Amino acid sequence: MGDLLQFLVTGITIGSIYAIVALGLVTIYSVTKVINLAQGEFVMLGGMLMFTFLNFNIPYWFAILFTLVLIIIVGWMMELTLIRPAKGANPISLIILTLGASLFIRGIASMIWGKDSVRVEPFTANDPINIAGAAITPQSIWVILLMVLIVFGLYILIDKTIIGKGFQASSANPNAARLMGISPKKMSSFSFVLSAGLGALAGMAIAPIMFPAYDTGLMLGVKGLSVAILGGLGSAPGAVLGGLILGLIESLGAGYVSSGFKDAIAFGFVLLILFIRPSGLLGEKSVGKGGL
Amino acid sequence: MKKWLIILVILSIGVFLTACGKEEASGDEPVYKIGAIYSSTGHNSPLGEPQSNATQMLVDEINDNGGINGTPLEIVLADDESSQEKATQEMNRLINDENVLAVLGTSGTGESMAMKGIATQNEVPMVAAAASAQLVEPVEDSHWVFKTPQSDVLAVEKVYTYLQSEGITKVATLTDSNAFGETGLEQLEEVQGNYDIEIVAKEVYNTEDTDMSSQLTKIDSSEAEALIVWGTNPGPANIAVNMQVLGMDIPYIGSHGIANQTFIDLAGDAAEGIVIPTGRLLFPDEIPEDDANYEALDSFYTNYTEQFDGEPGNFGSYGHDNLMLVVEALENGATDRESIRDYLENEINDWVGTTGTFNMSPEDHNGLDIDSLVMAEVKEGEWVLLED
Repeated sequence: MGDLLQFLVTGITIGSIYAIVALGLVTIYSVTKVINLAQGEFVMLGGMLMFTFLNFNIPYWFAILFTLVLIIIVGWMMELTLIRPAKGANPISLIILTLGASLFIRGIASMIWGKDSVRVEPFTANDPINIAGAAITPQSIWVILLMVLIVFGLYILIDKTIIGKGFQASSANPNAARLMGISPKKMSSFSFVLSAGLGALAGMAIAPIMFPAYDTGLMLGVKGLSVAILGGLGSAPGAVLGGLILGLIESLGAGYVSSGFKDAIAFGFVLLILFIRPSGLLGEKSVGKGGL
Repeated sequence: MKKWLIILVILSIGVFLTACGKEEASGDEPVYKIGAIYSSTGHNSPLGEPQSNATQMLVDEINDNGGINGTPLEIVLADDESSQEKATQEMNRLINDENVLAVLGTSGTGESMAMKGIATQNEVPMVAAAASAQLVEPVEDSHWVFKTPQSDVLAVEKVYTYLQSEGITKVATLTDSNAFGETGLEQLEEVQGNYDIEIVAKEVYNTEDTDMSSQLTKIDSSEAEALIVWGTNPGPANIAVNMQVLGMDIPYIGSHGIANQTFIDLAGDAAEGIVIPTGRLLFPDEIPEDDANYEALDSFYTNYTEQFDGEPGNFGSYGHDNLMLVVEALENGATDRESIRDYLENEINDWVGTTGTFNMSPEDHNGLDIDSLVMAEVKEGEWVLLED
């Protein structure tokens, strides 16, 4: 019983890391229909920049702020220099562009920070908390909290504000949106800024748990993408649900079946779900209506 | 007319070049020319850089002291950029163009394996600085190849010997699913019987995994009295932290894959008390003066740190031993490819290097035993020698 509880807690911890990465991916997709393969790199940069600022003895909360601002600039630059000039190209070309950007960022990161993993201090004192025999670190609780906050924030932004309406309009029909006085260009730019910011937040939150290195973005990007697809591309609650499911299956698979097969089990399950529901758990059947 | 002129020019240049070449060759003093390929750049650069530095430093030292029996030693240093293609190219260049007597290197297992074939084909002795036992096994196929780093099986035997002395018989393993972890696991399973140790829980993790609590929880429920972790950073650091969070207090024994300060920096407090097998150059200051390797180690370490920023580490010690083994052969009159090989195979007995004491034989082209490794423990954020 104690074991089961620990497997569940571990699964939720791992799952929330995947989910928080997937949320940024979903934001860009829902507006531009571009899958940003460099999303994992935003997350990696979040961890690595945080490490650098803390090394310069910048106070913790300022370091978070600086990291956030810097990565938002990176996201904005990426949209401005890569995506916008290629506007009108089909999504596949744009996706390949983001892949190039991710390789570029990873290369630069390996030159700046080298190949070693780094350690980032947690947000708050990290004495583990015991829940009926299962242990969880406060940092993991921060990740879960942040994930919930982001989903809620995105819901407010997309469904309750005029910017959100613009998002949905640009996604559903850019031409009609332009006629209504909405600038799809601005919306595209804004979606990159937003998702870079979300990536940065995710990176800073999970850095104390996972020892980031220049290449962690690759793994996180792959897991994040699988989770986003599992949840239904474009759906933020779907990303969270997908992340938690993947994390739980990995953890339970490792615990009860075999740790050697945990990825095979987890991704086998993902495939099974996608056979049954090709549009993902919470994905709409007619993709293209927009909204998160 | 023009055509004739061009041909004439080309011909005269050709004649000029051959003349130069001949002059150079005939005017040369006799030298012993050996080649060394190490990965000074690319992903293996943390290994290759100290090896390359150590080699250059030692060659300069030897030549300053009058060379080998009066004959200067010439080293052709090459960088394989941590790639097999480049290693193959450089190996061919050293053997065919530079005509070296022996080749040292390289740092990585894959690159060294690529070079092994060329060494065998051209009948040139090669002394590798890569860990895998495959390089010198099976010994029938490794006629021309030697290596100085300890094989994984020695690290495994060292760990089991330590566990035996601690009275532990039931262990759990948690190994990386990459080549390093898999080889480790194979060896751990293979020799467990020789040490009356039983693996009661066998778990693996993926190199990029961030949380191993599930595997650890399972291990915690087994009857294991100690946990053996085989991997390289950052996985083992994650495991140390997860164990601390879960409140597990069975001993954690790592591999030589985490014999570095990075591991301690990552794991923080959770690293305290973790034990690993390692070469002596992890902490040259800790090695007692009565240790058989003390003298070789001490002078190498002092000279190296005087000349370069940073420490030679265990990798530098392989660079040292590779070169000095061949120098030993040259000093004793083995001055062609065939006789250097024969000398390395038959005459290296109780030869004291920095990695350990070598006893080569036709059956063993590594020549080290488990005494080439020591046990280290993390104490107050540093690796210290664990006295046995």
